[in-house]
Amino acid sequence: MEAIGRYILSVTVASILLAIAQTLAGKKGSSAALVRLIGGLFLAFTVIRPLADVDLDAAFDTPWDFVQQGSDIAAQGEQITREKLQSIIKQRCEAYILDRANALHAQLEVEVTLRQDDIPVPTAVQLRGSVSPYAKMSLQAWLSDDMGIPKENQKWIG
Amino acid sequence: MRRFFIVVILMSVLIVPVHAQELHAPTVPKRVEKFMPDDQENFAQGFWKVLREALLSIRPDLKEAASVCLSIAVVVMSISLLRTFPGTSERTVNLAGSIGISLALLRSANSLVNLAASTVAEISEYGKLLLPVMTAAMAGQGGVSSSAALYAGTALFDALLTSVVKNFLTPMVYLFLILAVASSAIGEEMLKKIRDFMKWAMTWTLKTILYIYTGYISITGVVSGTTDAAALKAAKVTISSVVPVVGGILSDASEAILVGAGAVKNTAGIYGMFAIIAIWIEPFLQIGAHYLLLKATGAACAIFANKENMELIQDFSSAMGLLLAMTGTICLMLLISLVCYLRGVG
Repeated sequence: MEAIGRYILSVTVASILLAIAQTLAGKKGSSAALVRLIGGLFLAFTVIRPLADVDLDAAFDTPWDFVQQGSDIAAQGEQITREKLQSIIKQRCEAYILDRANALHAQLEVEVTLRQDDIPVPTAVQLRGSVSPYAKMSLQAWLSDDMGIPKENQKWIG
Repeated sequence: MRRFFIVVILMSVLIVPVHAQELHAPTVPKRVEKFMPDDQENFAQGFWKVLREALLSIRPDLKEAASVCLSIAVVVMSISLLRTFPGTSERTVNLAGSIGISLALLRSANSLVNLAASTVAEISEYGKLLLPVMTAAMAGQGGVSSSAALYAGTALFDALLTSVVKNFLTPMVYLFLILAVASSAIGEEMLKKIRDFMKWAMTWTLKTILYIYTGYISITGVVSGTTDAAALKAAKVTISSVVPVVGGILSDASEAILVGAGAVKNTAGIYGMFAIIAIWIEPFLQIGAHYLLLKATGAACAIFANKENMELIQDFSSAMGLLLAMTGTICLMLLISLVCYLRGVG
């Protein structure tokens, strides 16, 4: 872009010089015609010469950086959302299980593990605390049927 | 009691998305803090507040512009008076008039060109901070393809325009003025043609950048928006196919997240709009005041000024017009982009 600025400057300076030379030479006579011819050639050379050095390949390098940047930022935004979504689902699932356990008079601490992909569904659960055999059996069945957590992924501690 | 605990737990869960999104618009530069409206919920009211504050702040510039125009009028009248003396060369009078008008205008023109260039750079810098926030928030709302495409387009055209203004248009405005002064002083037709070409080239460059940008935004908006809408729909279908209880939890959580991301995006977008307008408006009004007063001076001087001197005054006002176009283009481009971000997915 700076090169374009220099190019415009050189054309402008050449034009002003030519205009001054033409004014000094007058509008009629052989000297005026000669000044017009030489000046015209000089101006044409100033205009055309730098065009030969234009590097068109370099001009097309920039856009792809922005495309990559856009994808990276969008991916970051998506990642932030996914983490928040996982956090909410984890909290809600744990609250839901606790609520169910409380209904069965079981005092438990619950920790749910989620699947790490686009749809974070619970895959495993760790339950810590005292629970009666009936409540445990009832919760195991409920976790398996309604929450989709198979019995082998339910870890009971205490 | 149990219901109370459930309500408390659910409330604490619902607070999470908006509170913890950690995305917010960058704060405005200190210079324009005074223009920012306190209440940003009512856009029209906020805009009028920004405009009123900006109009009040440019009063000193109006006085300066008026004094410059007065000095031009004095120069033109003096030249007209000089022309009435017998034996005065027309070329000498033209030259004196051109030099007088140029001396009266070049200092303010120089400061306005610098003001326009720095305003474009300032808006662009703010845009560079704001665009990632809007992109991330829109991606969080499900517009992954749209936001990436919007960011790529806006960042590219913003960088292109800033570079064009800094390295191409700003020097060209100076050269346009040099050519205007030279053609007015010498009266050479060729210089006038090059001057006119420069003005056309500058206007064409700005228009073309804006046209291509709006074209790009329109096309990618439709294409990427459709892709994102389809992806969102597919995600909803997948969620509904999960175990009923978990599916319900997933659906509610997704809804809360989308609402939270949307709220963050809207807040940042509206703040960003006000910030961009606040950065842009004062310089725009300053340049605009000079532009209008120069136009008025040109019209008033038409009674006694000669053709070359009249053209010179008009050229200086045209240069101000080009500066208005430069600052207006970048502001408009970012505002269009923000509107697209706010419009959302689909």
